Amino acid sequence: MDIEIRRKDPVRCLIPEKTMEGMRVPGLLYADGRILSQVESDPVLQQVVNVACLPGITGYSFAMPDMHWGYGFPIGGVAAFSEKEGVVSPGGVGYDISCGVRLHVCGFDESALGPVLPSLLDALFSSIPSGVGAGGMTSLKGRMLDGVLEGGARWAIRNGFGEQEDLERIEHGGCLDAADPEAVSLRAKERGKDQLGSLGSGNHFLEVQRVDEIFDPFLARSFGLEPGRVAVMVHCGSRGLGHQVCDDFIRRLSRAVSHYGITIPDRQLCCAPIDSPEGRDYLAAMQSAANFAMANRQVIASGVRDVFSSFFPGEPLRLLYDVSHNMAHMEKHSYGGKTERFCVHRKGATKALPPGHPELPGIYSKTGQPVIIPGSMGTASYVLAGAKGAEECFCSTCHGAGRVMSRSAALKANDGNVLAKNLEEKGILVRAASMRTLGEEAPESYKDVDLVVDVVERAGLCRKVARLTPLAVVKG
Amino acid sequence: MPWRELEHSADIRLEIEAETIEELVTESAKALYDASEESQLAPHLPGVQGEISLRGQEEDIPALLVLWMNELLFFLQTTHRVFLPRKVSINPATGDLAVSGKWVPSSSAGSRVKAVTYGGLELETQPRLTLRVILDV
Repeated sequence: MDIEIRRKDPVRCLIPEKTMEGMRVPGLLYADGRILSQVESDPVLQQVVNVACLPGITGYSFAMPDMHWGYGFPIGGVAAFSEKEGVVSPGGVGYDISCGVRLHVCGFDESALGPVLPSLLDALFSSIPSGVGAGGMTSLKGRMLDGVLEGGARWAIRNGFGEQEDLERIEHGGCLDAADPEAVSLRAKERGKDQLGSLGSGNHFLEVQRVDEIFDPFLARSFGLEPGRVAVMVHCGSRGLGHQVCDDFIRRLSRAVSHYGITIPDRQLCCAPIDSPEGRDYLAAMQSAANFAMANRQVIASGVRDVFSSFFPGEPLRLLYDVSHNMAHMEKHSYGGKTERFCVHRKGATKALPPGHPELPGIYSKTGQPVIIPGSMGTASYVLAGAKGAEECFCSTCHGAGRVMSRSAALKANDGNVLAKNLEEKGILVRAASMRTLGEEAPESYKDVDLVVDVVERAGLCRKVARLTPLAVVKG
Repeated sequence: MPWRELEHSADIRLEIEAETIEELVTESAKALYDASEESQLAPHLPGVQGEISLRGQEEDIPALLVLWMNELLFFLQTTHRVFLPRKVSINPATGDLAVSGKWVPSSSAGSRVKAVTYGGLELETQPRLTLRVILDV
């Protein structure tokens, strides 16, 4: 199908509502000419159109500049559904429920790392489980897993993984209260019970970084970021447990669509009314998986802190923020002159609350929410801050660079061992569980993160605060 | 091999061909294991006889094949075992699938494939049965 794209301004494009029968809202792409040229022939645009057909969608079917082909919903997609007429869809969250990223900031500069960096990286690689099939840092017996599903990062801190003050620096205080472990299948629990405290594989990583450039001195100071400062970024999610929850509910909600008379253009868009037994159960199970993901990152961070403290005794590793980029939340927004509750799906998109937003923790009420944007090995990552303009897309922004090259093409172009050597020559040390994954995850497999971040800032969704560059990478 | 990888910007998109639906069940298992970097697929390997039975859980063949592949993935990830199909019985009208075969230990630590998805799921019947399916990695 030909999809008409109308440029609205230098960073916004519209897909008109009449593009396909059944669309209830237009599509809105955040893209400049360079980003658009990379996705014009990608199925992602059809996916933006398909999402616009779902009941109760409000405003637009949004796609962030890191958009690419997902399952049902596009990666980089944002869709808000009214609480009364709308739906919730597992495909709008994705398989890796609450996949997310956190950034810890050290109290010292890159110069202090000096010759210990290779040993530090080796210690991180051996201490933090990574790669296919890796077991976690802790095994959960009996009812312990339910405690994680209920308590999230709060469970982790109660059990010695981290500090109480971390909680106000994690979205939702590290715990989603509507989680219900009873809604999570035994299969999902079986897949998750040995995986808490593990990075997994694919695009997940742990990076030691340095603050390379400051864009907003006030916000950077507020976030504790200074040029040269060392930071640690962790990117991972809910592991096999989240995947199983997604799979369980895709099957269940596939049956629900006909029951509720919902027509969907792609099975992966299966959904159910928010206030239906299926919708409520999915939200409860999905929030449980999100709690697992937040606990997972907290446990990993605790391991990272232990390693750092053995090299730099007494130096804290302060958490800046922990954000998810695969989630659906019930949120209150003012839209089209009315204030209502919406189920906001962000799949490969990050919440970006502007200064003064009532959901923000006190420490960030004046700055806006820190938004952590991971790059790919060898390229920069960013710290942004939510801005007023994000209200246009239900307080959302991008989540990363977004892939442009298939895994097979990346593998043909990159031998993992050669890539590791090339990165080392650039001053980036790499330890990888799989050289194949390393080749597939080569930096050129992704869009230019600088372009992606440039678009969200020009669109007014976020403000650039700082740019960080990798020094050492643990790749799953 | 009656399967190949198609272009996909993020994950693995497979095209699997077969003459019969029973053969498609067997080949989809092999394709999944291949994508998982599993090498224990030789039929002569010693193992334990077993059966996987899926009864009336899906209303169409493509969805049943996704369910079948996810079933294999679950066992690969949680028990580190590979299931080598020997005899396939399928009733498209009821959505019942029973596969007898052999369980053998996995050669890998786990699977790089995290889920078999319904996104872009297609089954063509002419000129051969052709399943297109995307695996999340």
